[in-house]
Order: sequence, then C-alpha cells, then structure tokens
Amino acid sequence: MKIARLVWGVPALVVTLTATACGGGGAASDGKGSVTYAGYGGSGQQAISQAWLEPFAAANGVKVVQDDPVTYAKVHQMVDAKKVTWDIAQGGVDFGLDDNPRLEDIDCAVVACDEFAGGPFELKKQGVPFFVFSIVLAYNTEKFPTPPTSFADYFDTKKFPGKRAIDGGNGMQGILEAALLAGGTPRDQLYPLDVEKALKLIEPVKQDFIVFKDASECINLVSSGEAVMGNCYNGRVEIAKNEGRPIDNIWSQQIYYCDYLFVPKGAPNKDNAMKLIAYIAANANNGRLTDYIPYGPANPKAAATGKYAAGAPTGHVLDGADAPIVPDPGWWTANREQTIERTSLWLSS
Amino acid sequence: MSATTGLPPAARRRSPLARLAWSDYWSAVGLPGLIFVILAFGVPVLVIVVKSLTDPSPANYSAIFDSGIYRQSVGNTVQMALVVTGLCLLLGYPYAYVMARSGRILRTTLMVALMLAFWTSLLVRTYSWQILLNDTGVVNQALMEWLGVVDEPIHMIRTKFAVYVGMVHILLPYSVLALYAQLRAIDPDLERAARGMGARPWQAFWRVTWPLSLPGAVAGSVLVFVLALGFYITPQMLGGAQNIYIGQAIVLQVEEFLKPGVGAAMAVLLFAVVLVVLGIAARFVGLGRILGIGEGRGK
Amino acid sequence: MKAGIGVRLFACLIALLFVTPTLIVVATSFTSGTMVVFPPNGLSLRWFEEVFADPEWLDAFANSLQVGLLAAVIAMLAGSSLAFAAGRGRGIPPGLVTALAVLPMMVPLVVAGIGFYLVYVTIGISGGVAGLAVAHAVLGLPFVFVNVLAALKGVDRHVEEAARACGASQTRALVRITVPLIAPAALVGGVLAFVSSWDEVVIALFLNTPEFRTLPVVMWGQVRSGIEPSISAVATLVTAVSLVMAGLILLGPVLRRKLRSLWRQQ
Repeated sequence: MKIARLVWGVPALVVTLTATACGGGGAASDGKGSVTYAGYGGSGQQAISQAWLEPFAAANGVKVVQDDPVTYAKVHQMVDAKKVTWDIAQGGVDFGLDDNPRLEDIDCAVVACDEFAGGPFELKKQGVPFFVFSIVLAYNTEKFPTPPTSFADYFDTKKFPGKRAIDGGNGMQGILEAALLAGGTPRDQLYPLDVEKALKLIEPVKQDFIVFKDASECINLVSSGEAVMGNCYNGRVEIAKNEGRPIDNIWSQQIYYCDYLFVPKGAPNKDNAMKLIAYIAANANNGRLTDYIPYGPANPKAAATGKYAAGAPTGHVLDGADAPIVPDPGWWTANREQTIERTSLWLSS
Repeated sequence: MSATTGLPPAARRRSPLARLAWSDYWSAVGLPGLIFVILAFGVPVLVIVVKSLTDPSPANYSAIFDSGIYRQSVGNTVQMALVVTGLCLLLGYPYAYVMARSGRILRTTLMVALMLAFWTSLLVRTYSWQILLNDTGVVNQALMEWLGVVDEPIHMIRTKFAVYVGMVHILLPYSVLALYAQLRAIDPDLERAARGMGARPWQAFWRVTWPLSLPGAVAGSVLVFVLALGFYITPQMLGGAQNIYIGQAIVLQVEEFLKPGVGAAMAVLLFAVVLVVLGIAARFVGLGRILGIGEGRGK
Repeated sequence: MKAGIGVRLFACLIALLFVTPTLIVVATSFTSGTMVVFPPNGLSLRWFEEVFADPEWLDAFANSLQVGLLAAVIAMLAGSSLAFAAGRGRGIPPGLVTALAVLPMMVPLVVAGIGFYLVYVTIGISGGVAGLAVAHAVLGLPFVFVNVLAALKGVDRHVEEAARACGASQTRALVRITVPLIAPAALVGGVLAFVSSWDEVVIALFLNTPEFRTLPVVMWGQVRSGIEPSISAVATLVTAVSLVMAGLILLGPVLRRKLRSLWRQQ
C-alpha cells in the first residue's frame, strides 16, 4: 500500500501540473479552513505540535499545516511579495514586534492579552510570548570530578581543560554578556554591550572553541566528549540526559529567552491564526508544553504540571550573581547584524 | 534546402529574433528551445542583476566589500578552489594515465570505480564523509582501535581538511575524465619512439606525453576550479562555522541579514568571475574541451 | 607503453577511495542498532521499514520522482530543439545557441537558486512540481543538447533527402527519419537530466514549502539535526536509483542489440 503511493506518483504528476497551471494550491476547505504554523523543527516543534497544534485541530476541526524552519528572511520575502503562506510564525522578540510593518497586530479581543501583565516576558503589540526556554551551560558528566558551577568556569580552561561547543550563528548572544559579567561588569551596566571588551576577555580560550551551526549539534558534541562544555538548549539537554547520555547542565546564569508567536501581514487565515494563538496562550493550555519538553509557560497564570515541569527554566531562577542573563531585545534588534559579522570574523581569525 | 518559401507573411512583422529564427527551417525548429532557455534561464539571471541594482540601490556592490565576512569568504574560497584543483590534478593525472595505458581489465575496473563515484548523489557522498570523519567515525576508529596510532580522536569534521577531502572526492571524476580524453588521444607509439631513441621512461613522459596532455589538464582544472567556487552543500556540511565560503556568504546575506539585494550582488559577481575564467580558458583550450564531457553529470 | 606498477597501485588505491565511502553508508543502513557505526551492529532491514512507513519520506520520494521525470521530459524537448538550431540552423549563429545551451551547466547552484526564487516570488508560483521541474530542466538541458548535437552530426542527410525526394514534407522527414535516429541520444541526455534533478539540493532548498519537499531537501534537514541509520537507508535507496539510471545508459546499447537479435530469431 505504501509502495502504491510511489507508483501513483507518476499519474499524480499530470494532476499536479493541471492544478498548478490553474493557479491552484488553495487551502483544504472543510468548512473551518486551515492555519499554517511555522516553527523551528526538531523536538521543540514536535512538542509544540503535541501540546497545542494537534489538540487545537481536533477540538476545532481546523487543519493545522506545519512548516520549518522559520527564518526572518522568509517572512520578509513572503510579505514583500504578497505571497504569504505562513499564518503564524514562531520567533524571538528581536524580529521587532512593536511597529513592524510586516506583521499584523494581535487581536486582544480574541487573545487574553491582559493575563500577561506581571509575567517574565511582556506581551508585544504584534507578538504573544508563549514559552520560556534557556541556553544553559551544559557539560559532559564523565570529564570532571567536580562539575563547573558558573560561566567563569566555562572561560577557565586551566581549571576545566577541554573544548567548548559554542553557537556560531547568533552573534554569541548571551555568551558576550556572560563574559562581561565574569570580567566584573555590573549587571546594570551591561548595555550598551561592549562587544570588543567581551571578545578580548574570551580571547584566551578561543582556540578551544568548537563552533556549531545547528542546536542539536551542541548535544552531540558535549555528550560524545568531543567538547567538555557547551551552550545548549535546556530542553535538549534534559532529553539527552533522560536517554542516558552523559550530559547535564547548571542553572547559574542561564541565558533566558522567550519565543513569541506573530502573524505575518496578509496571512491568508488570519482569523484562525488569532484563534490558535489564543488557544496556545490561554492559561488552561499554556503550561501543557511541560508534558513533552522542559520549556516553561510564558503566561504567568498558567501552571506547569507536566512530567518535565521540574526541568523547566522557570523553576530554576536563581538570585544575585547566578540570576538569569536576559539579552536586551532593544540592543540586540538594533545591533544584531553588526554583532554577527563581528563575532563570526573574530571566531575565524 | 531552407524553407524560406514556406515563410508565413506574418513573420516579417515579428521581432528580430523570430525573424532570424524563421529565416530557415532548422532555426525555426530551434525556436521553442531558444524561448525556453531565454525564459527559464535568462530571466532569472536578469532578475538577480536587477535585484542587485535596485534593492535598495547599486550601493549593494560597495556594501559587499564593507563586509568583513565577505572579504574573508573570498579568500577562503579562492584558497580552497586552488587547493582542490591542485589535488585533483595531482591525484587525477596518474589515474587517467593508468586508464589510458593499461589492459582492458584494469581500465574497466578503474572506469567502473570512477563512474560509481560520479553517479552517486553529491549529498550522499558528503554525508558519507561526515560518517567517516566524525570523532567517533570510521577513520578515527581505525586509527585508535585497529591501528592504535593515536589515543585521542583527531578532529577532522568541521575543519578545512574535511571540506577539502569531500570536495576532492566529488570533483576528482571531472578532472580524470578530461585528462583521460586527452591522454587516450595521444599515440602511445610516440612514447615508444622516444624510448627507442634512448630516452629514460620519465624523460619520455616529461618530454612527450606531458606536453601533449596539457590541454586536457588545463580543461579539467578549469572545470574543477569553476565548480569549486560555487559549492554550498559540502562546505556547509563538512566545514566549521569559522570557515565560510562564498556560497555560504550569499545565503547568509539573504537568510540571516535579510539583505537579498546584497546577496544578489554577490551572486552576480560570482557568476561573472565564473564566466571570465571560462572565457579566458576557452581561448586556449576551447570551451568544448572544458564542458564537452558527453557522459558528464551535474554538480 | 604500459604504466609502471607503482602508478598502477596508486590508481587502484584512488579507485578504492572512490567507492569506499558510499559502500560504508550502504553498510550502516543495514544495522540493527540505533547508531550509525561501521561495521554495523547486526544486520536488519528495520531502518528501511521505518523509511517506508514514514509519510514524509514517501511524499518526498514521490515528489522527487515527479520533478525528475518532468524535468527530463522538458530538457529532452528543449535540448533537442536547440541542438537542431545549433547543428543545422543558419539563421541564429550556432555559436550563440551553443553558448546559451551549455551555459546553465556552469551557473553556481546558489546563484540559480536565488534567481529562480526571486522570479517565482515575483510571479507568485510558490514551490510545487512544475516550478522546480522547470529549474531542473534548465540544468539538465546541456546534457541533452551535447548528446543530441553529437548524434545529429552522425545522421546521414542522404536518408532525409531521399525521403524528401519521395514526396515527404520537411517536417514529415524530420519526424519519421531524423527524430528516431537521434532519440537514443536524447534519451541518454534525459536520463542524465533526471539524475541531476534527483540529487539537486540547493535550488530545491530555495523553492521548498511545507507541502512540497524533495528527497534531498528532507535528507538535508535530517542530516543537519543528527546522523541516524534511517538517513543511511534513504541514502542507500537514492544511490540505488542513481546507479540503475547509470546502468540504463551504460548498458543501454548492449541491451538494445540483444533485444534486436532476439527479435530476429523469432
């Protein structure tokens, strides 16, 4: 039966051609329509799908189409070309969620906007925060008798010899902040970020960096021992740990993030998009992600009760010097490109 | 022979191209193909050029050179393409020579091996090197457990070395085929004659065969060099984030920095360089020799 | 003049390096374990079963097949048409036709990818079989062109002239005499075009949508998030298809002769 699909592929070609020629490709219409969700793929999107997208589709009879990965470039191009295929995109606050001409405003008549007051991340005019995750200092549990305790240890290759896995794609966001903190800059004076000073502080350990491009590589690098420490997503560390891999993380100075949902301007199924966002953000549903992955709710009125709740970043917010590092969205939105250029060059020189 | 008599009167009012095409029967047969190439190939190239000049302005071209990443990627790419071209010539020449100068069994064996590699998907071959060169991969396993040469795995993946290995594996067949075509055309009696007149084997090779095989060597090397300039998949999969090549720099501009205009300008420059290199080489060895691998394959 | 023994050994070593990596991938796809290791931990077909049970892979297989076939057909038509213009036409300079027909071979794929992406975004075709097949047909066209042009040079024009003399129109002579003579060459070019479409990633990445992904695109996405035996299994299947195609081309003439002689015996 499965093979039959391949065999049928050839005649289907003719059908597809005809459909394309007629400018087809409309959404499957079974009355309630559809909505396309674009995320980052991998185990994260799988969890989002199980926690929210599939239940929403089952409860409302709306077909949820999924896509990945989100790139901001694709949102730009879709909107500029007026050929928007994504109704909801997942992304960071650095996309600009206040007066972005390429986004729709969030409809607070549908979404319970007022519930986010006093939460860890504020609701934006064009974006709804929907889960909290962090990039943590992960380490290989077989390499050291005493595990590292702070980012200072990450930058100390004498005390903790070995390679460090580092994300090369994001302008070393959070790492620069951690370096400055380790170098003695007070927390309230981090921004505007002194990139050159931070890089100078990291310079001594640069030859020990293994630069990766994809988040899952971090887990493989650290758990295989190729690197002894790395900056990995907390959820992926937890999953790998549960699979029995020799990896764990500390919570001191976790780099604290929140992902937002937003609607590209001209999304074909805007109404369904707002309904799905409202569903995901509702206090009854927002904590459900912890059933599948240790990422915490962004709605302060939602309860995290899933089996992964204990590993969610929201449950490990430490104080003082160990408190989470929250990259400043204003500074990073304004300086993202230059910083990516600068850090990529620095890493390769 | 030509069918000008059957020319429809309307043709006189058509565009110059159509008039040209209708001027004889075979050009008319070629018209559909010509229209297809112009629409499906000419238009995309034109759109890139337009985009590079208008989104937002021709300043895209100066923006390229302000980008440190781009300058570095050019250096990396040229270095990589030269190294890979050199290695392909170095490894490919003996291979092609043996193919041209040995019995049927060995020649067939070498040809089959070459064709197997040639016909295997680029993505599959790149993936295979990822498996081989991993820290826990076959090569390190061999070095550590089977041979016991080293205690710690050698880092090969995410280095220039891995990129070079993968690229040479993918591009070597092009270089071998060009060399083989040339070497096979050289009469073996010439070398025999040189030997007969008292030349040592290497003298006979160096004075007779090598100069005669040069056009093939140039053609193969130019092809490898030009193909190497535009590679994206292999460096992205085997290379480290530290070493970015032009293909990746273009994607970075479009996808990460949200500047399709600058990316398009880079693409225009890359294509222009490819055309210039081909044009210069074609003057010496002929475009047909460079591209005319009848049984050839895509990149 | 035979090559020396040292050089011959060297060539054999390179030959081994040509095929070993692929063989290792194939071996890892038959593992019964969950890791990509060589030699594999036990033998099984479980990863192939997994691939054949996964709609994502199956859809991708079907998509790649459709794109490849359509691209090959377009490339055969357009490439043959251009070969006639270059080989026999006088109206359009043959040099110009040849340049236009082989140039797509030399476009860096990233450049072509951006170009097609920008065009399709502008005219509003997003992803899909036809859009990608047109792009791949352009890449495959040179293979058809080169092969048909060579075959055309070998066609005896007297046969066509005889047909004309017997009252056939030029077009009838073309269809009944010349086209059958060049058809094998066009077919070889078409198979090459299919294979180049079959493993093309870069343009396919630029043009992919959630509903429409080809096999290399799905494979690329999977490889980037970690190596798994199921990827090896797909790689094995992809390679098998490519090699069957290669076999068709290399053994095609032999098979045709065999069939013909069988036919005569009957």
